Amino acid sequence: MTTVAEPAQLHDLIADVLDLDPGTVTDADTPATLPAWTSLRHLQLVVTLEEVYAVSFAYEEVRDVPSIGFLRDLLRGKGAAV
Amino acid sequence: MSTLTPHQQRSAWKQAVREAAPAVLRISLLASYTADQLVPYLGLPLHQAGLPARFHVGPFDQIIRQCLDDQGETAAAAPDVLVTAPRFEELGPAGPRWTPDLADIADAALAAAGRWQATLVFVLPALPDERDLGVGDTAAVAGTAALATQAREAVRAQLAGRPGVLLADAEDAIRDVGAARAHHPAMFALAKVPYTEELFAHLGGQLARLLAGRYGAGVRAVVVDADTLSGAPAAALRGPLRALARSGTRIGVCATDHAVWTGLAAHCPELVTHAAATAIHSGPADVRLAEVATSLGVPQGSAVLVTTDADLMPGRAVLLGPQPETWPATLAAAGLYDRPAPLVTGPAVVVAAPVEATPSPVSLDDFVANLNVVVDVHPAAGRLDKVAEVVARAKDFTLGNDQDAAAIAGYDGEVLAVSVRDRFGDYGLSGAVGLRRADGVCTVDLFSLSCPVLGRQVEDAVLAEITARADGADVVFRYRETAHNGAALTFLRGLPGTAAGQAGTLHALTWEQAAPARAPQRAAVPFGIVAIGQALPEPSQVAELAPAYTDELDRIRGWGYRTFHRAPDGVGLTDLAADAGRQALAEAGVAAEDVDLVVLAIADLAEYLYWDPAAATQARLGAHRAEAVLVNQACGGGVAAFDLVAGKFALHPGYRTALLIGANRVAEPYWNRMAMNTSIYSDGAAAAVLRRDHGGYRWLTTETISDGTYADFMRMDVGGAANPFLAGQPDQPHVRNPQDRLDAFFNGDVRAMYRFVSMIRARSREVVDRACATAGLTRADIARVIHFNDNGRQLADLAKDLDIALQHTNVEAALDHGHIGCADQLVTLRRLQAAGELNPGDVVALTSTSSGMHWICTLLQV
Repeated sequence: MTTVAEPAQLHDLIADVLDLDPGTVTDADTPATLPAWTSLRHLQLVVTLEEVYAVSFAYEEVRDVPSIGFLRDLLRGKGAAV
Repeated sequence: MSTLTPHQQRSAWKQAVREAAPAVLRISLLASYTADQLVPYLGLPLHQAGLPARFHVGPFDQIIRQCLDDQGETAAAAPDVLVTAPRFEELGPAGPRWTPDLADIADAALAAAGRWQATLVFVLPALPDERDLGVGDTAAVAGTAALATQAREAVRAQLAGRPGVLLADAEDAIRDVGAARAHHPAMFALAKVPYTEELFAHLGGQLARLLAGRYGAGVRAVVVDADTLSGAPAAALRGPLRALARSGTRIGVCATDHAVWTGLAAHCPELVTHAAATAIHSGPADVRLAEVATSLGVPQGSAVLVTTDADLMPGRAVLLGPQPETWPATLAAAGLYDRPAPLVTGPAVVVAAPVEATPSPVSLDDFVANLNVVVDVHPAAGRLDKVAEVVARAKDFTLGNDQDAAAIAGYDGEVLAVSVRDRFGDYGLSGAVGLRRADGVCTVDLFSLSCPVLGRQVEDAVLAEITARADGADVVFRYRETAHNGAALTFLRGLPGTAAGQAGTLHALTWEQAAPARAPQRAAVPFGIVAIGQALPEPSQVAELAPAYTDELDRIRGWGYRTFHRAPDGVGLTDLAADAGRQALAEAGVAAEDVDLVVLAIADLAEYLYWDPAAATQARLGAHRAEAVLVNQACGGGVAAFDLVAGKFALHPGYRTALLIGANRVAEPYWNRMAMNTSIYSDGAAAAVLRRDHGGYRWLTTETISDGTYADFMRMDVGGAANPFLAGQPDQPHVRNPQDRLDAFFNGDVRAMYRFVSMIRARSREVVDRACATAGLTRADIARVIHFNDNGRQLADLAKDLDIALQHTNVEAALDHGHIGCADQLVTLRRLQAAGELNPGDVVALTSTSSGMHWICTLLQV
């Protein structure tokens, strides 16, 4: 059985990729609310999540990511403890 | 190879960037794919090796274009290192063109690196995974693997051992990580990132090792930690130590005491033979390493410790694992065997030209023309969902107006879809345009193109389509600046008539800016040409007389001039000017005493100093009532003088008739007519009778750009007031040859010279666009461009720059007459008139580029 980690862990990881202060990211955040979430950073975010959570994404899954919460659900769906 | 995971390397790189160490190297990456992912894995090891770098990643799949463009963003980045990384997958389907196409990339990259004084790192592309015949490809002599191998080896032969060139190999990186872990199809679909982070990490490490060696930051000494390696497993080091010694790497040993050292030596006698320094005491590892490095005569930073103790000097040690049989591979991966390949002497290998080879040397226009780009712009009805998807993904080339799918579906104008293909493939739906027409204005607020089609002049083709659909109306692009749409804004700022804030048919405006009023389309002062006369000495054959002027006959032949005019001894500039003036007056049926204004434009010296040749010409013509004005604006004076006449007519209502004369007589003691510039200079004159309110060959406007920065470029240093020429001086003063003047003016800075040439061409286009904007015209309205009589190649470049057919320039007249100073344009105009090649209503652009420097354009309407 996997243990779901604290939400802050995913938030901090994303904040690190997007060069934001830890604790400033929430599940409700979207590319529109986080100007640092550029297309290039999006690529870095995708590869970082793949690497850290040992998952792989399909194109359709990461083409349009509406929010951090969406990413969390996506990772959980792949068995990641987030 | 780093022991950090890719994620750890990226984090460490971000930290290194935050430290903001001053960059030692500026590195530009040009790849046929999205190469941003490579930056951390190249930047971090270089940073750790003491070579902090600043990176520029060029636009996706524009290697050749960027390499050919000295005004492009890659050139502007002024790289010390130019990394080019093509893939076969972006070179089109497998076929024999792979070899010449890859060679073209290598050629362009090599030339760019040379011009930009950069080190070239060329990454040989990996063999594609996709094989039409599957496993049968191996046995196909024209299969994917065979064709790719052929292309790779051709380019290896082309570049290997060339000074300033390093070769890397993507195939090596793929072999390191395994093909199954090298590719990332989802990231490729998402953003044209073909590889995994693991692959990029290996490739970055390989590039870093190459550059570390190139810039003296490679490993020069290996120090064996006897304390952890003593004993039987040390025998595994025997082969590597022999190889290191052969390659010139210095070898040392550190040990806590002699017994440990002796124990190591018993199993690895190569150390006894090759170790040139030892540190035998129990001091800290870094102290012992420093001692050995000093003894070996290498900087401490270029010595590494080889050990099995993971806690010893991380970052400065090569950690050997518990299995001795893996040690050679570990040492190789750490770059201890890295040495530069030997330089190759002799001529470079030339790759056989394909049937449809790109001409060499390749210009940017040639390259784009060779792509066979086809742009199809069609109504988007029925495909609006796809259009919305393309618009949503376009970040670099967009007007930034945030039109989502709903906005596009409800667009109250015309939405056009842009499809693109070239010889490398079909890019499909690649862009969109939205436009509305109202009140004589066509407003464009949607203009997006996807990155893969940028750099192929697709934007120009779409612009032409927009202009056509505007049907003569002004076109106003409404945009918002975003963090990423710099490519679109750069394009918009280059639109004719917008850069200088002039009115015209194309405007790029933010939403806050009001649309400009249309420019007046009628000249402020109406006048036109009644007749043209000329005085040209008998033509001389270039081939026959060139050897008397220069040894560089190939250069002269390359210009294409057939004949030129040389006046007999004793015939001066004003003799020619007066003859041309008399003929023009006779043909116009105008008596000399009825002339109100005589304007003489000259580029060379007249017969005397402290003497006004315009006044002298006025007197010789008998135009005693006329005001005489001398124009000395170098070769552009004949074109610029129209503006002067317009001004005189405007300010003197009584002036009705002017005689404009352009004359040239080469002062041969100072000036070698065949070794002065890019033209053969001729003697001669032409004159035009201009009359107020005359409707034929009507003057529309004259525009001039002057830039005195280059005022000194053509000067003769002796003879003026600053440095008078005194009789009896041993050396005859003369204007130096163009190469010497270029070297002196630009201090040998080749990049500055290239920028100079590019600037000249850009301004030639700009001044025409300005003139068109003032006259309420576009360049497409111009039927003929009559430039000064430059050589055939230069006129071909001008034709390309102005998007006009070469035969619609003055090329034939130029090659028949040579460059007659200020008389060129009137001589050609007279020739076209006599041949019936001009039709009523034709707009003719008289243009010139002249010393000073000046760029001038006068528009006339037949």
